[in-house]
Amino acid sequence: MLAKINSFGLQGIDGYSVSVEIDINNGLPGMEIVGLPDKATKESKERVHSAIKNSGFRLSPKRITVNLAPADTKKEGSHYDLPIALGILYATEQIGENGLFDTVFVGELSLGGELGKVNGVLPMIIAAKQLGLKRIVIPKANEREASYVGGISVYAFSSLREVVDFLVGNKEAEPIATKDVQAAFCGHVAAENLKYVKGQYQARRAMEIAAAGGHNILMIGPPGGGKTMLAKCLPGILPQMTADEALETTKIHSVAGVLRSEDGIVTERPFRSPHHTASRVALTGGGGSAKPGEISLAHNGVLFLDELPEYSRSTLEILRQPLEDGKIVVSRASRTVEYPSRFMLVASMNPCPCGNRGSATAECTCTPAQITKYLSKISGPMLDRIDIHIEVGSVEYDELSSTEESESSEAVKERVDRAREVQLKRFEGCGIYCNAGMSSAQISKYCAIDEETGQLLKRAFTRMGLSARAYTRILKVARTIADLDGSEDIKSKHVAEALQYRSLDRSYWG
Amino acid sequence: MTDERKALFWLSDGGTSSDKLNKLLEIYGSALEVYNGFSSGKLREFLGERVYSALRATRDEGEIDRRLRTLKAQGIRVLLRSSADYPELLRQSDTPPAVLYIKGNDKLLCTRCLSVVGTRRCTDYGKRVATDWTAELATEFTIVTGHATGIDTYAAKSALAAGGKVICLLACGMDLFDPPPFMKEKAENLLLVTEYPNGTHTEKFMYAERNRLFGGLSEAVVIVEAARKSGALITADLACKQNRTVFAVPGSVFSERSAGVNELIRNGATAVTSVDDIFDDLGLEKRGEKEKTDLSSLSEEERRVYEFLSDGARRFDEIADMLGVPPAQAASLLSMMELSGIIEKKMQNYYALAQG
Repeated sequence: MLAKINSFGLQGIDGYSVSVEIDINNGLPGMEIVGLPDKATKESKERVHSAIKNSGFRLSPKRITVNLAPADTKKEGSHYDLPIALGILYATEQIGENGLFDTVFVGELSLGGELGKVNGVLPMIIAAKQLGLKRIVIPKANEREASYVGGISVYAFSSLREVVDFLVGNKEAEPIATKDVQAAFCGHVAAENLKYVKGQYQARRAMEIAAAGGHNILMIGPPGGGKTMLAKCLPGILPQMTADEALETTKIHSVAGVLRSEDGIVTERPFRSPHHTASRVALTGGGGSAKPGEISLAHNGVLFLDELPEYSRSTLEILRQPLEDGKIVVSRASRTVEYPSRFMLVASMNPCPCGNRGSATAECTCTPAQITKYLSKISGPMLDRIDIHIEVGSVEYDELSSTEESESSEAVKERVDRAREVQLKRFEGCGIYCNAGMSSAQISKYCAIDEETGQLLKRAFTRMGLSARAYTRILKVARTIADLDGSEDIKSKHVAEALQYRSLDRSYWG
Repeated sequence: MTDERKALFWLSDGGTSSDKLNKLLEIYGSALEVYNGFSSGKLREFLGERVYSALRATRDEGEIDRRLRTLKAQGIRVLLRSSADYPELLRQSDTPPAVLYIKGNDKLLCTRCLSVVGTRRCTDYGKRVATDWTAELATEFTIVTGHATGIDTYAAKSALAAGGKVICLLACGMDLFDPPPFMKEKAENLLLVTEYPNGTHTEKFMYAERNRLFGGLSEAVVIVEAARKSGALITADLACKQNRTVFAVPGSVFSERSAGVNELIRNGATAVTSVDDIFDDLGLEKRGEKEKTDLSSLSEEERRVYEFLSDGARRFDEIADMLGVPPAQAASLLSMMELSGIIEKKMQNYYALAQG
């Protein structure tokens, strides 16, 4: 008897319907899986074999053919175990139809018949719902992430036996209660809080501006100045993710298998800091198993690149597309996958290879040639996409040991939220959400400055030795500063402040 | 042939070192004597086979004229010790070259000269001293320096950028030196000087030989940064022997690349910590005190910052704390003060009163 069970596969971060067909024939006993299964899927036959036996069913010594249709797309992962096992039970007439064919099944089986956690359950459920399917059965361990999708009955079980009992009516089960995404946001606490950052007024202020305008930011300073800590504070002062953003980010994390099962949903903006030795595929995603990479995991959050000049040129070049388009397209010979990756780039670097350049207390041992070489690694197109550069000096002992708390992330976030609201209103229907995304036309429209401010800017260029590339960046940042100030126009004080955040363009850096 | 000048050129162009050339002149009395009595075997032994055969091959007035014309076409002037514009200081020095090849603005030889030299592998500190100080020194002196990377190049670059004049001493033939772009741009303020004829490739001993000219040409030598075995120390040594003042810029006692300079100081070189020290020592007026910033034109807050910074550079945090204003306001204020030229931003978030 032919069995045809519904299941789902993953293409990028979206699920697509896969039907698992099982047929039993006479012949040499064995199981053959076709439909381009990868290694994990192929090994399914050993797991299914034992799981069926150890769950109290029998496996007749016949030839079993499993087809994963459509047969021309690659099937990856171990989540086809459950549909295959159920198909075999049906084909060998150990269970009846009992709603088997209008339910979607995903889940990995252990040899003992327990259902184990699988990746990408959330996008599969969303896809099933969009296809109008009514029921889906998932492993218990994936229960949390499934609870944020309404409009489809999701059942979670912990073993093959339970699933069968449920199907044949021996066991009552309720679908998982749907939870509201908004509710999940309540009560979460960011990992780092600005109130524990000692000193560094300018850097704190720059963080606030960066968060308010969505500007990418580069921090330059000696080791131990607190650059990493400042970067980690950023998710806490960025506006709360919307429900859509949270679901989209959760989808990516679910596919990549980095979602923590106790959370079920990503409520805090992600903070990813790949090491500079990370391979290109680790950053972009793709590769053999088409998993999202670090820059997609940072979607709607912060991508932190520590020691920016240590990253290879080709790695940094990869970042250009996502910084521009908010997505990354991974093209391989067999297929093209697209992952969303709209993130804020936060980078840090030392002022020179030894890190002591410009320090009042330590000696720099680098030659000018070494320094030039170091700085040249991040020149050009990369710098063009970073609006704010600031210097983060070392902190003095007195500041470190002071018990006084600085302004907390929550207070800063309130101002950021207000500034974002202004921007959302301004850019309604423009397709952008914050000042950092402004095009040249939008800059000239929204960043008009008066005569006096224009003079000031002109003077700044000659006096401070700013480079031409700084011009539009300063205007953008000044726009954000004005928004934070609640000011309709960009005033000269806003431009003046923005001038302080262009360290690398300044001649004293040369 | 009867022209002593041509004979001198012939001797030098053949590759006779300045040292030997001077000795020949002492023995023979004039270059013409050498030219006319050339065949002697003793001379061959004295000059060495290579130079001797080169001289023999070119010992022909037509050939000498032709070579002189080629040099002229390349813009290279042959300056003889007997010439009136041969620098007087150099004439009195040890082993003054009988023949110099010069290219560029030859009036610079009659100006007051000061050498600024140092290591090739300089640190950022050395670069700053070379850049900042030379720009100021160049207002009073023609800067004499080399063409190696490091301190020499930074000094030359900075002097030219500040509109000053530079004499660059080469350790190779004039035709083998390709001036970097920053020199080509300011060719009118530059003079290239070498004692080696065209086609002479640099060899290690030539640096040491050339280095005596730094002291020879200039009133004093400033050693910016030098490790224990740097060529700049030879320069200092030779300058000292020629009775020139050696100024040494002290460095950290832990810095390997200042070890040589610090040793110079220990051995009696004059330690200098500012351009004024050098001007003072050489009998020049100290540069007028920088115009005092007009305090009355400053706002209350600007005045407080000005006074706060008069003790030295301060960090952004300290300034904001002192003013008691939010960072945004402090940043804006500091930008304005920078634009007015009252203060300067330094690295690592330091701010200081503007220098001159």
